Amino acid sequence: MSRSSELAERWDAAWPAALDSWSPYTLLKPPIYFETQKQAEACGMAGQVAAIRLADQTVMVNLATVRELGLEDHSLAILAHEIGHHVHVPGNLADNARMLAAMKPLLIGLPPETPAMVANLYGDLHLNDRLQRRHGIDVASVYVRLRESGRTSDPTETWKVYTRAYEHLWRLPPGTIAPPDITPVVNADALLVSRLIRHFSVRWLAGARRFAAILFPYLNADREKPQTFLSAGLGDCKDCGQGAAIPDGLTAVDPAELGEDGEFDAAINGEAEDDDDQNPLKPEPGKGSPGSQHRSPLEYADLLRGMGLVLPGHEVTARYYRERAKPHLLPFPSRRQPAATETHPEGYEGWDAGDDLQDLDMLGSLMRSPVVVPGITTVRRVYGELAGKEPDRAPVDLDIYIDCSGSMPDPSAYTSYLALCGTILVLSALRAGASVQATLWSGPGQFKTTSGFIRDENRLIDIVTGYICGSTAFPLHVLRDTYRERRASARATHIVVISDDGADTMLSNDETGAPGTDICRLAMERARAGGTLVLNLFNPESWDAGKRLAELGFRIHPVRDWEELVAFAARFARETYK
Amino acid sequence: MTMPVLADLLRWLAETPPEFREDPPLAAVLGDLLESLGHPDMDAAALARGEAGLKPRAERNRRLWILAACRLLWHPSFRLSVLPADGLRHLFAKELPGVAAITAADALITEEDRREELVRRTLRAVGMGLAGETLLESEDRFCQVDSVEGRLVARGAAERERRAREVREAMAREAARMAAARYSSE
Repeated sequence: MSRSSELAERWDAAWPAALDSWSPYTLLKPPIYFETQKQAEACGMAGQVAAIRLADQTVMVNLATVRELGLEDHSLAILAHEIGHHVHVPGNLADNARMLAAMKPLLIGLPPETPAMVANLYGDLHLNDRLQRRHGIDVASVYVRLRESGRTSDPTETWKVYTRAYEHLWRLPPGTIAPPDITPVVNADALLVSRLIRHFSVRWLAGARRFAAILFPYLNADREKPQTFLSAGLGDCKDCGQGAAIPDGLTAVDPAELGEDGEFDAAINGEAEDDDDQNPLKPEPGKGSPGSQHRSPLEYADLLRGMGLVLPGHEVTARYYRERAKPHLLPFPSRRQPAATETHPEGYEGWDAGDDLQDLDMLGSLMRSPVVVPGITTVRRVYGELAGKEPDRAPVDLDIYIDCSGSMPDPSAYTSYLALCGTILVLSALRAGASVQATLWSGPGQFKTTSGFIRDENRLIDIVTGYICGSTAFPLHVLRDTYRERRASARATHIVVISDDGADTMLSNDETGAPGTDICRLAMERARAGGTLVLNLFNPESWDAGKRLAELGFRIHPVRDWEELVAFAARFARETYK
Repeated sequence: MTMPVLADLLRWLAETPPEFREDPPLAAVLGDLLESLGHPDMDAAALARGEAGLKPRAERNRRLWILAACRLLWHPSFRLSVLPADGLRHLFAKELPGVAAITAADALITEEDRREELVRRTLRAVGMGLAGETLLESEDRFCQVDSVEGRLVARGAAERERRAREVREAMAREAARMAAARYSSE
């Protein structure tokens, strides 16, 4: 047995105890061990001691670095630490993302990879303190060993605060872990960090902003220097999100990201000291329902990038609107059909060896012949359809036209309530079993369409949340071509146009000179389920085209903000198809 | 000595009769409590009076915190032994006015953490522990719910953030100056 394999076995033997240190019920697959730096490099682990992948809950250990640093005997502390990243801080990708989002605004001006490292430092402080103090695992000796190894001999300012904080947390003599030249300012900040870690040990996300604020000057001072934390191979959360799917729930701002109180912001702005009748007893301004806050699409995309999730821009935008639409999904309207059909068995026909096995009727086959010869004696049942007594419900298809002219916000940068409205309607329709035709339009010849009624959610959301940004001309030819040859037996369709006052171009002539009024009238007749114009209008009463479009049968719903949009969606389902 | 169970004390506080929250005469309530705890000689009136100079709203908040502590100390767990007079004096004269200066007593109704803070402050003051908890666990948990500590940490971090903001602003000014210098030299 080679020396490294022995080491892997020793570390494997410590694995159950490491799991047990968090909970006897913790279940994780055993770690992956890399014997050489070359092996480790393939997983981005070269020079690292250990790391986690939150995507598949995998702990990885680089035994080559372990040997280099003389950490062979510290398996329990290191493995328990990595497990802690799974079960405590950050615990999962979504909370990791929230931590990054909380820290980023306080680390503006620093290199882009800084928030991820600060989040790693913060998580490590929480985990190590818990392991050392509550579980009696000697994490301190790992840091002592690191110091002895010489890997931290030229420490950054950040490293000084970080290691001195451990000394405060564990009441160790100065210099046990931290470098010797700790100034009084560094010492004071390290003490503050240690108090912060203790105070926020359960609600750790609430302390993330404050931690970043304390560390900022040190990170800024270290700009020209490689961070000791990373060069010592301790950046174990560096790529923890790699290969993961985007977690749900990131469009909303978690109240804990904001620290759960206005106290920190008030103190930053110097409002805390102006005690009037003991300021803290006043109701805190802005402490309302922060759960209702959402990130902008740009912030959302930035957050995903920070997690190491590199996705095409439009996929991120589509994901953003899909997630924001979900809580508002409504059952899309359906209509009563004359009657549903019922199946009934009509007899048997031969079952061949190439047919689906699930169609084989064994009982019928055995009744035909006790000796089963596939393709000769085997049969399957044949079913016919009878008109049922219960009326059936057929969903109404959706034909949606989204204005994307220059007057509309870019859905990938700003929250576009029109794109959101479109997403809600499309997803509701698909959920009810309807098909959807989506058309994004701007100026003449500037449009994107599905060119037919489809049920491909990704393609539909891609169009609904897209951006063209041109002049304004409703695509009358798409409306015309959709309904000109529509069969009378086709499913009833509801036409929805999401726009602003540019919707009056529906009344212009098409490219052949045919009046838009005629095209709209024909479309409304053949759609058979009505039409709705959802318009971003500030003064709908003074909009002249409104009356003419209403005469054609369109219902007009002005939309100004999110609440009105939700109200529209509810009305849409209730009034039209009750 | 039988130690109280945290859940019992929290429930006891959550079930505080509304009269306690209507700001009854504090000296009378304190007097009754101290007498029943075996300290009839303690000056309830002086403890009830508190420090001069507090504004009415803050003074009312202080009284409500002390009344909540009185309610807690009526729990049977505190009748099993004589509580130290010094500890009680420290609780009513220092600990509770300190926390009342930064936390509204209404939080005792809405936040379980504040009720737990009151329980832990009271137990620390009278030198008692909780059933099933080591001293270390008790210290850690108190640190987590201690609103005074939370306020101090927040203020400390905010002070650092103010410093950081100055640094960022200086960096932005320097970047602007460099850009302007480059522009003028071209």
